[in-house]
Amino acid sequence: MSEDGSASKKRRLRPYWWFLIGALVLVILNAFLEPMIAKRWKVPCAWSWLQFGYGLISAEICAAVYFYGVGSLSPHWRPDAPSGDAGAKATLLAATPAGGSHPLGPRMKERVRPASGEAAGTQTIAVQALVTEKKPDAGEPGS
Amino acid sequence: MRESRDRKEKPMIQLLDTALGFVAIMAMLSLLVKCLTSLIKSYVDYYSGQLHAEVDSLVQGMLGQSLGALAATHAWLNDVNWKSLGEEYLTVDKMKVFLQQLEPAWVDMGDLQSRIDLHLANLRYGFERRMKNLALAAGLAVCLLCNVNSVTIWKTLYTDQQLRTTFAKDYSEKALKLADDAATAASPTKATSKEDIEKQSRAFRGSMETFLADVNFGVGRVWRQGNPPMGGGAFLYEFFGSLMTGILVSVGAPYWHDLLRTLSNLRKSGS
Repeated sequence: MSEDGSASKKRRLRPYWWFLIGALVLVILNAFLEPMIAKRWKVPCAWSWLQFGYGLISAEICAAVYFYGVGSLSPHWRPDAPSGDAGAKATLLAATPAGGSHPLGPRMKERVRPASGEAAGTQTIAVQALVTEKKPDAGEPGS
Repeated sequence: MRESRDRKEKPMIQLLDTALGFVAIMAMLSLLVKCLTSLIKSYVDYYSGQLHAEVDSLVQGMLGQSLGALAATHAWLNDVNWKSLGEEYLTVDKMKVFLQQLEPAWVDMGDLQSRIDLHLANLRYGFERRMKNLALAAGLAVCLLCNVNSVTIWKTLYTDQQLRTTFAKDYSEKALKLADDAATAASPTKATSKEDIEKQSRAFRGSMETFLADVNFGVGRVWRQGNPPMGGGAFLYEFFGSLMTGILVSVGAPYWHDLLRTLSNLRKSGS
């Protein structure tokens, strides 16, 4: 795997660490705080470890489905920063590194803004130049 | 001969009644999930967010700058109320005016229509996918956290004749009526007013209370203090049963509604 690929994978996996950290915090809370609360306020321990585990795993599954399917991690959602290749492929328009998105590529790279017909012609030439510039990169190995 | 035919028919009727009761419960549960999904959708307003992201993406593609960056020089952008806009805003004429307001020197090179079509398709696709995933998340949340186990529900209905009869007749009719009402009610794509959200919230709470009062078997077993307490195997059974119910329920209310109607007609023709 290339360095870029591994960095992208790390970036995508980062939010999932929060699920793990959240689970750990809840386990600690359950282990230490719950008996303390029960002792201090004379509240009977209301749940067993199995019940706690069931509730925790259920909540984590629901949260994961929500964040991956609907929230900011969803490949169907288009946040300001692209969330990896998978995210870009899942949408009909792939996000470009510049932030724009267009199947023809970043045409507005040079920001040519003609006001007259003559200038429009210049812009068309500039676009054609961009397209022809790309050709050698995507060309056949033998050419 | 007639006796043997009756003996053969009895298990079939038992199975049909169980299926009818089970599908009625699933239909009620999926209506509940639909209600919850609609409530979350109205509260969070995914549609406006998705529309804003698509317009932002279009502007970035055309002008090379995001709406956020352009808002620094065009203060009127902050006054645009995205919540009040729908996909009718993504038309060539309106986008031309919008882009020319942002950059007076901008001209359409003839590709604006195709870009808008793509963004419009992306808006619909993204919104639909997110709503389907939201239904799955809501279904899992309701079933896992309330511990609604479809396996226990099926087993109870199959073994308890009184319950089976009640659910196959009265409850299935009630579910069918509610599903018919829900099917005719339009589901808004855009955010509704605060009163509507409160109304939806009250409706959800009411449906949840009714469901828990009607279906008190196979629900919330893990949260009860049993004597002797439940073991690890029972917890696993409840967990996977609830997970399966959540997935089944998120298939959608129309599916369960159609299935309930088919089974109901079959039961009527059989009797």
